[in-house]
Amino acid sequence: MRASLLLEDGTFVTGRAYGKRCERMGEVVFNTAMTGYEEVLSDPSYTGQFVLFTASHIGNTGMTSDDMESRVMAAEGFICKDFSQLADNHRSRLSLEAFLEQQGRCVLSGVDTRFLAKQVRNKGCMKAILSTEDHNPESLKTKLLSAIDISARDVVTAARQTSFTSPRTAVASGKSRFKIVAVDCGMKRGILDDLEGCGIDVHVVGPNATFLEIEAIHPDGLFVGNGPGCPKQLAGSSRVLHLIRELSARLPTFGICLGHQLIALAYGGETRKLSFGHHAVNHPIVSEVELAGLPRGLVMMTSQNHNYHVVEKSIENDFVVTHRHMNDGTVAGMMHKSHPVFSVQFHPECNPGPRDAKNLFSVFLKMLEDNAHARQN
Amino acid sequence: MPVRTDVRKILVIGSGPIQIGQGCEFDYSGTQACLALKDLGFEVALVNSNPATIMTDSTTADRVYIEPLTAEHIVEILEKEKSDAILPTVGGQVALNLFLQLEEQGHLERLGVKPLGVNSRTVVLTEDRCAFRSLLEELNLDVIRGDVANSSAAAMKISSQLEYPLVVRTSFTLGGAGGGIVQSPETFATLIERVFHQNPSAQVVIEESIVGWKEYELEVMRDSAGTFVVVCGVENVNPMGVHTGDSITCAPCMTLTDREYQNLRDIARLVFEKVGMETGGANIQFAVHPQTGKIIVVEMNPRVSRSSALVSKATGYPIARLAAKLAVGLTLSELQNDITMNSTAAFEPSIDYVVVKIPRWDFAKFKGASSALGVQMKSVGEVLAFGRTFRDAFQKAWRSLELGYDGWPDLNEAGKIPLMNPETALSRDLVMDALTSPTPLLFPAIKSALKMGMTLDELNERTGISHWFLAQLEILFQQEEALKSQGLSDDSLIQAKQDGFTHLAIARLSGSSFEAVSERVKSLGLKPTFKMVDSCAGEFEAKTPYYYKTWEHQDENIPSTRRKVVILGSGPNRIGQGVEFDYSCVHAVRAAQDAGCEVILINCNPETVSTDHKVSDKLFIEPLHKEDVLEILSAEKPEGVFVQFGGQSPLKLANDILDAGFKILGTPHDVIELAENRDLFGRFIAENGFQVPAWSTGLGMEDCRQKAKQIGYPLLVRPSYVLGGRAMRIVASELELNDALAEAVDASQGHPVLLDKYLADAIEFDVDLVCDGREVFIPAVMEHIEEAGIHSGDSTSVIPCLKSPGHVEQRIRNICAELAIKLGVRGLLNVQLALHEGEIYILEVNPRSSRSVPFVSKAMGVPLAWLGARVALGSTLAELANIRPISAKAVAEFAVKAPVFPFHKFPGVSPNLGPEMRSIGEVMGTAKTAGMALAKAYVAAGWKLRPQGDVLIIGESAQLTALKAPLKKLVGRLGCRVYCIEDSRRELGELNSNVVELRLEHQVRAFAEEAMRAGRLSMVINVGQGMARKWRQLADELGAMTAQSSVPFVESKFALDAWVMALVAYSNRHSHVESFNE
Repeated sequence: MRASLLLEDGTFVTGRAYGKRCERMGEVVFNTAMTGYEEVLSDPSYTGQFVLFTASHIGNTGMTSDDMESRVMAAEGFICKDFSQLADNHRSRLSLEAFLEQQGRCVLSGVDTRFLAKQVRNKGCMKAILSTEDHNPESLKTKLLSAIDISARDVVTAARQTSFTSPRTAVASGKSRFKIVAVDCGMKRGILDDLEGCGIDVHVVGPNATFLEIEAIHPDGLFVGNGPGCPKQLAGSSRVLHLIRELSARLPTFGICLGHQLIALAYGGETRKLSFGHHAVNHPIVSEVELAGLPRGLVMMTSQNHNYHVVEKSIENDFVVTHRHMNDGTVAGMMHKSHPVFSVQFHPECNPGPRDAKNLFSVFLKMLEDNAHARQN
Repeated sequence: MPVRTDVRKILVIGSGPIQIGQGCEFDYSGTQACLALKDLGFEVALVNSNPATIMTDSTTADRVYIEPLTAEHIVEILEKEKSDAILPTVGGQVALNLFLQLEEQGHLERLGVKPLGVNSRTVVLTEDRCAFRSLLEELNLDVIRGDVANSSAAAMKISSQLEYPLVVRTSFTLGGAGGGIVQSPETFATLIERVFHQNPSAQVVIEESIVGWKEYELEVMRDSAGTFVVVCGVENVNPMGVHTGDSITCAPCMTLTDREYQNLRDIARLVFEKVGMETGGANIQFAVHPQTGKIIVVEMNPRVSRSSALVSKATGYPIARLAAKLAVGLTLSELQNDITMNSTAAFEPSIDYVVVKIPRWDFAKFKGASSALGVQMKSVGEVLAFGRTFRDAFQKAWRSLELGYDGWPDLNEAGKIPLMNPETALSRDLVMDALTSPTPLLFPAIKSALKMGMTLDELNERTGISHWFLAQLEILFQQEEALKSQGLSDDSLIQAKQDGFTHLAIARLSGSSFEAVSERVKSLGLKPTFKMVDSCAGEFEAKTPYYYKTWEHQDENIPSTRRKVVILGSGPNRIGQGVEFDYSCVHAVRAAQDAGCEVILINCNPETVSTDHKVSDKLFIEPLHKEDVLEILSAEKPEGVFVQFGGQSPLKLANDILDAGFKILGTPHDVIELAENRDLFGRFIAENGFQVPAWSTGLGMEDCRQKAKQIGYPLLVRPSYVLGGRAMRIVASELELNDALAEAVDASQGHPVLLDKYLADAIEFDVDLVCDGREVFIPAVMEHIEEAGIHSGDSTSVIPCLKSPGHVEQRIRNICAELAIKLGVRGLLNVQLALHEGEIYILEVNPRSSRSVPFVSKAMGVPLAWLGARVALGSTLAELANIRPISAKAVAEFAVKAPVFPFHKFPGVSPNLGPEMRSIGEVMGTAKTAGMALAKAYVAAGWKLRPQGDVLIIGESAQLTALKAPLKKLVGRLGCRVYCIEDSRRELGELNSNVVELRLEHQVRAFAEEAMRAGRLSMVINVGQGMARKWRQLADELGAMTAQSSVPFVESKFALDAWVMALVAYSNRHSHVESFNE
């Protein structure tokens, strides 16, 4: 099977395809992780996007299904240099090819992915169309013109339908000490697992949840999770900022990735699109304050997956920058100056990626403990 | 964190001579470390006994000591230098062991010297397998069942509680020497007997085998602030059971999910911190059960290693350079990624290509040695290949080996099973055997097995190699089959090029021609594209021009319009072509840069300094293979190509380079051809009045026999166009000739066999010179200790001459100068000569860099290779004298170069020297007296000098007479006891009372074993070559025995004289160390 890919800038490549015949549109982002395609492809934050893997071989370990971050393949499709039909890992239950067929998606392989990654690096994230049906650049171009830019699309609704967390109210095996509300915009399973691992019951609600719904839960804290698309689009089309403003004023609050951006917006901050985003598992983050026993100046290798960032100037009045991205200096974490509100742009739950930042969940736990203590007194 | 201020003067410890398991990767890491520390303003002193290193150049450190690597010498240096710190983590296990010794003996504390990057607790914990195991248990990590035995009884007891197969290892070893996988209780008992016999105080680890498990390595770094990074993971294609140095390995890891990879990363971090290592680089090896995923930490090396060199080259992340900076207090986040120049070094490289390493072995040099691969490393070098896919890299790696393959061969193509018919049961058995017991032929056997229709499951069952790798190999195999059955199609051609097939291979498989394939490739718009090694998978713009080639869409190489030259490196290390040639290449790079050229380097050896992307202006890691090299030349269009610095590998490509229309720099290529072609050279010699031993050439057996008769015996027989004297033999009779010819005719591959009159008992000389066409510069004449006929690479050489008077040296200089001018040499020339009955004969002429260039350069303080390259680029010696003073000034009264042999890795092989080179490394000793210089060289080479011990002689009376003088000194001056056989004692006259006679072989054997065990045996002298068979056999047996120890095996009067000089000097030693830049 053949597939063709046309990028917004006219770049056109054709190669071998595996999976199901399909034609899909979305935004192309490149990811430089060398392991963890299962987690990446199932990460709801990739809804509406094609993942361009820079690693040479994809599919080698098949699909374990234990490592899925959502129920389905969230990405629209993906592109790689060489696709392995054979799966070789003791935990593998399904080949990636079979998974693609199951999910009705396809992969384009055998193309110069380094060239494509450099195009994206130089020109920024672009709209693209991937098709196993149409190999004519002209007609693909016509179709692509009709595609709506991801920043104007509601991708969260779709992402929420795939996430493991949506209908789930997780109870941490009876040993829970706290109960929180998590605003799910397409949340990764790993986050839920880590929150639960801290002894926190997680009650998942959507970005349009009402206060009544939330009050009924009597939460000890608020969590705002990751998700796809543009934070401003979601802010404009949901009640999420309202929720954050109201709840974070009285509840310890933690945000990851999109959640971090939404918290910034809720406090009057500004978010901007990065040229080609951060999609990798090797990005260095340095801490700028001492947090939960972790020293200032600590460098962590982190998992990242975002196209937007919080503009530092716009949050300086209310927040302290706790973490910084070492390569481009963007805000990677922030803590409110007076409320227990903390958020990070990267993924402490990793999946995939190094587990250096796992400890940050304990920062949230500490906030919950301190708050409980204060209330008792 | 700022740079430490409590340290100002640092001594860096090198790794000594090249050995199996310790190659030139430590020249690369040591050089990086020294330069990094110098950059930070530290005063750096360096000690290493290996002159053939960039590390020991006076520009690398402020003070360079070429001294034996013993605690005694290092203490002397520390005292003299008043060093306040040592860096022992960049000189391999040798440096770590020395550090431990210095620490245990209290020298470091006494002298107030701080260790950098490591502490003794870490070294002990990681080297003492027992302590390491408990540490892993404390961390709740799985360990292998087993125990440590200090006696054979204890060993037997432990083994009775374990399940076979077992792995047996001894502690404190290099490359895992002295161990093995044991399948049965019987073999276990034999092995244990041997180990404790050799070393009664040995510590032996006995463990259940994890053979067949998947094997991974992580190269990690950590700084004092706690930043921890995995530079890269490496997956061994061979499963556990074959030493990683003998395994085909690949990066990144291919069969791990992220969850498992992060598990390894977490464990690596835990172990790193638990062993108490604060900063630096380390290598951690894991075994992972293929079905259960159970993880075992196999070992940890708290230092830079062969793997770290490989990973540095594979990712562009300079581990040793950074490790040195971390050791003096800097942190990763303070350092820059020097590939992108705009991001921090605190990151984990991501790569968008695959690298494959294949080892290179040299079993042919050690007749009788087993080629079975196991836990003890046996390879002598390795190649690294980059490709966009595993298949691309794998094919290239086979090509890089320079064994005549242009891609992955099957058993037939590997030439080892000639006339194999896949249909016969015999060949089926051969293939099955090759699959089951790993040897260098394992991968060729897999291809043969695929041809026989074996399935991936069956292959996995037999070899333990993961399905994923086997599937990749199957794809390559299927492509070959498709090319064979369907010929060329657009799709198959594109796929074949992207998967690393050469044009020629495609032509051969598809029944087409090279030209037709080229045409077709062009018409498809396919072209070689060069991709950057950028450490970040294209995420950031890279500034460093470091490339590999593939066949894709975008070419990232932008050739400059500057004046530029290409230098071809020397490929994988092998016996006869090692680090010496890389040394010359690096100097040639510098020379061409000094001459204002852009320098492009091509090489595929990951251990070397030349493949550090900081050395040349542009680096291509590519095979030294016709198609690969010409594709780069076509892209770059250099002014010329240097083929004279990398040994035989680039020379072999000279004609192809000329045919493609490129210029060879320096000495015209026809001169090189003249020197290699005996007929042309013979005519030249005769016309110009030089003298050579009577010679002839023969094509085929019969012709050779005829010619031999004309010359007479003894006779030297050798093939042409080989380096290191492969298949070269001295024969005394026609009977021996037939045997020698069989091999030489085969090795010549259609070229004539060379036959020379052998000059018995002649003194041999080596000269390396530079000639600009008018003037000749000869820094020194090297005289060999051993007689002519012993390969120059295996001889100990001395500057100045010890045995020959000054007028001989002058005559040699005159002959060499005249020869260089008449040949028309522009650049370097190496001449080997012999003095025989008052006449000087020219034995060999090599118009190129040679193995002895680094030694002469170091001994005489002249940049010989630099001069050679400058002259080749058109400068005259007179002009160059204005830039850098050209005068040979000996750094010491006497300088000695001694060879280092790998015999101890090949049990049962006798260390006899001959015209075929078998040494792998070299050391240098300098001193005010010849005896002391010899002694230092011998000590540095690993021999134990025992001036008052027992000397055993195998030889008859006649030969003993000639040894009387040196024996007299051994007995009279040193008080040695001499043991000889039969009734040769009578010949020793007045020495008689100190000589013991051993009549029977078993007495000799028992004596030798006992003396060796007691550490009393000074040397074994074997002059019994003409004796009865039983004595010759005994001599071989004793030779093989000494080879497993540090007892010298001396085979000539010349060598004995030198040993006696050394022992005398050593017994009343006042050795003192002196740096080369004082």
